[in-house]
Amino acid sequence: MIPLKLARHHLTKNKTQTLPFILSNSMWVMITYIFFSMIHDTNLKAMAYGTETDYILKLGLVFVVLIATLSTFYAERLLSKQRMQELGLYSILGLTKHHLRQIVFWENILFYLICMVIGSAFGFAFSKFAFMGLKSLIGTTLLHQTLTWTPLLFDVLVFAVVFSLIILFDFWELRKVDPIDLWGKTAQPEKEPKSHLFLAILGLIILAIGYYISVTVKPTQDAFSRFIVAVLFVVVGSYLVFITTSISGLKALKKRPKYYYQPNHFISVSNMLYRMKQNGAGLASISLLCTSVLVALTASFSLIAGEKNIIDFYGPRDVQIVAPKPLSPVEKQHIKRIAKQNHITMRAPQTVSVTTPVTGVLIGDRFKQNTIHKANYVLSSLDLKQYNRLQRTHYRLARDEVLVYVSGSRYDKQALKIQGKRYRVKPIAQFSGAFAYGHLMTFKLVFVVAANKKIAHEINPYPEIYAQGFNIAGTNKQQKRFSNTVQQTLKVASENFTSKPVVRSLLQAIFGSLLFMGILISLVMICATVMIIYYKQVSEGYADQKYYRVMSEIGLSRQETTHAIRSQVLTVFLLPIVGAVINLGFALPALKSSLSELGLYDSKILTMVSVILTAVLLVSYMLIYMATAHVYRHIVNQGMV
Amino acid sequence: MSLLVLKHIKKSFSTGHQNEIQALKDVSFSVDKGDYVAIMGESGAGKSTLLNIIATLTHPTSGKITMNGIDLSHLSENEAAKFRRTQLGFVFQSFNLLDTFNNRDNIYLPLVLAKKSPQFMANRLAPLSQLLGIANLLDRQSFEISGGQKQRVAIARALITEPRLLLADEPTGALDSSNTEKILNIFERVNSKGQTILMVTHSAQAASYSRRTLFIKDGKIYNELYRGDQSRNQYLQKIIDSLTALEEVQ
Repeated sequence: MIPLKLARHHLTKNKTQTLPFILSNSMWVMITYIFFSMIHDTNLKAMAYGTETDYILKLGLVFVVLIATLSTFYAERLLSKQRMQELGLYSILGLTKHHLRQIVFWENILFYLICMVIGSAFGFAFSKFAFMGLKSLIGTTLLHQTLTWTPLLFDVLVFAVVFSLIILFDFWELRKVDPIDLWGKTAQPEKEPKSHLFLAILGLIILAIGYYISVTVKPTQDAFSRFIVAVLFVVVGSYLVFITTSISGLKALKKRPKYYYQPNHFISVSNMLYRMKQNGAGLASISLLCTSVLVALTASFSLIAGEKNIIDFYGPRDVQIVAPKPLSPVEKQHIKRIAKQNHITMRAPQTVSVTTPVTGVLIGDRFKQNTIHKANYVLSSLDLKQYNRLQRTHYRLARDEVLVYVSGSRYDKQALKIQGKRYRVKPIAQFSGAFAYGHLMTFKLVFVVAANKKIAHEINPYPEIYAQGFNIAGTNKQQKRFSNTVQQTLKVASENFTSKPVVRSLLQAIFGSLLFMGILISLVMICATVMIIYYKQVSEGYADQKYYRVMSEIGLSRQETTHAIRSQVLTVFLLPIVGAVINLGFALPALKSSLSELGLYDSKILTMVSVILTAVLLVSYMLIYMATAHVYRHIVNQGMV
Repeated sequence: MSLLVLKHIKKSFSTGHQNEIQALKDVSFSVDKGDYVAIMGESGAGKSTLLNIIATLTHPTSGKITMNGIDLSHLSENEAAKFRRTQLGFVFQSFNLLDTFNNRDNIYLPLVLAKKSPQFMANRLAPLSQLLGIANLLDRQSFEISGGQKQRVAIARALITEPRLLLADEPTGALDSSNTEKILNIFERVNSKGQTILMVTHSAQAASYSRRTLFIKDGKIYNELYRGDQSRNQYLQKIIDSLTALEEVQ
């Protein structure tokens, strides 16, 4: 069969182009297999919080398949010029359209088979490994894996669909052009890109709006949805800026003869104009891919790193019961009995009584009560005697004086106005009785210590509640069983009952699966980025062949030409990563607000994690760039005399 | 006074397995300042190799080539590039204009590389674009104009540096007869103003515009014709006779 032979010939002859395609697609087959395997071959759903984890994984899976498909199409488009020329030659040599379709068909079938075999083999091997990773990240021993054929079946089906789409796309490309066009497609030069001033400015404005939203997101309950809106703006803005603003900017530079007619600027400005036209969308995609890698990993690593802070936010003791009155002797007996049954020892009991917290906002030094959806603080009050006892301090307060504690920050105003009265403030950094009432993690906690109970009630007139807690020792399993039994026996509503061992496993399950997915998705995106960069180098190489030849004849040494073109190509390749870092910079405030929703207030952790990740990304990006650069050089040198 | 002198130039290519192809066997000739030399020969006779050596794009295996007293046989790559930039102008069969520039910038390219000011470049271009009749094409892209127009833009690019030597490689090879005539007339006019030209060509018609024609065969100079006071037709007839004689020698 001639078409099959020609297809095989193409695959083996153009190794520099087919190998990366095979590698990246195999990688996606592998990762998709792992996702399917985690969802279908494990008892994840049966685990505590398994439904959440399962949901997160399925979301990730959809995302991976989407990214894989899109970047494959993008690579196909980059190479299609070169490819169409080759097929055009066949067509001139007498092959019919039907034959060409057959060649394209067989090519993709071969690609599909190769990628499926490699991908599933590695997927099978690595799913065991990934499973162990997931297990340790979620922190459970109950998770187990039974290997079945289901993931493979799904994997085969999903990629059959992807490759069918590719085949249809290629057919469409073939349909569009007739043989003579095919032959000349690469030779046909491109018009100088037009400047779309309106779109260029619009892009900048949209990007600015996105950044503005992100920076001004308040840590209230709708922080996350506002973050999503900001993301949408930044995505649209990035594409517009990369595609149109860059061209308008370059055109403006070109209009300044003093700047334009200098050897380096002359070559780079004119060349960049064309590159940006062809590459604007691709560069914007790389930039957004890098941004999402940075944001996803920053968020998940920060959550893992900040897990202890989050857990401590729930309250000062391992187990805590909040109630309108102190625990009765009978209830205390129950707890003791359950502890004994579960081999738990209890230590450091502590009871704090504070007024029921009210939600509100701080405007300057005035606390204004507000509905829960518009608030970002909860405030309760207590008397000095309790505070001094808990902290072992010896503060004295006048009637118009208060101590103010704000979780995660310091109250820096001189006074506090509340309930129509003004109090002078002594800020305090410590309050070992602080707890998040009703597990409301989105709010900053404010505790106001007044001279006595009467004044405390003037500050916050709501009835007192008692937070009663103690630490426990025992195995993780015993601790959880003890906690659950206590809660059931005493019939405590879940928002009034805190058990850190239980919270810890919940957070581990959620954060662990988030990180697991973050890592897998980042792998996919890095792979997509590598593939796009690689094929960009290849297509740019072909585009620059003639350039090098003409330049050398006009009297620019190869070294000088290389220098001029490389520095400019490097600029083009660095743009997306610069864009990604800027995006991350603006995403951090919104990220901070969204994460505080989950109880993470430590912005130091967030900053550190993002700086480290940015550095890692920069280094790996440059490595990828340099590793692919030799392909470019090779292609360019083919065109020399 | 001789501008370009070639003495016993040899060039061989090894094709592996100790096989050597001798592209140029022993070529000696010189080109005077203000001369217009055509080099003719069949494909594979060594014309392109000769041109590449003169253009400093490749080194001869042995022999000596000097231009304006500078020894070209041993220039480093950077020196060669600088030499090309300052001393030579190139015109090619396939024009070799860059699509990323408009015509004006294509012409400016060598001057920009030589770091000349925009004003200087504009002053140089004005008379040249009049001479070549391309004044109204300057702001268009190179792919928007015809082949003959492209070649005139390419000639402008070659001449704008006021090179000592203009090298032309089949400059009319891709053009129709009316455009061919235009280009050859331009060459003749430029030469009459003192520009030294060395042209490689297949076409007897193109060669008939030159002052001197060298015939090259099997890597050697085989014959040499001077136009002298002959009319172009007489000269053309002699060139054709010489080509016929060349074919008969086996």
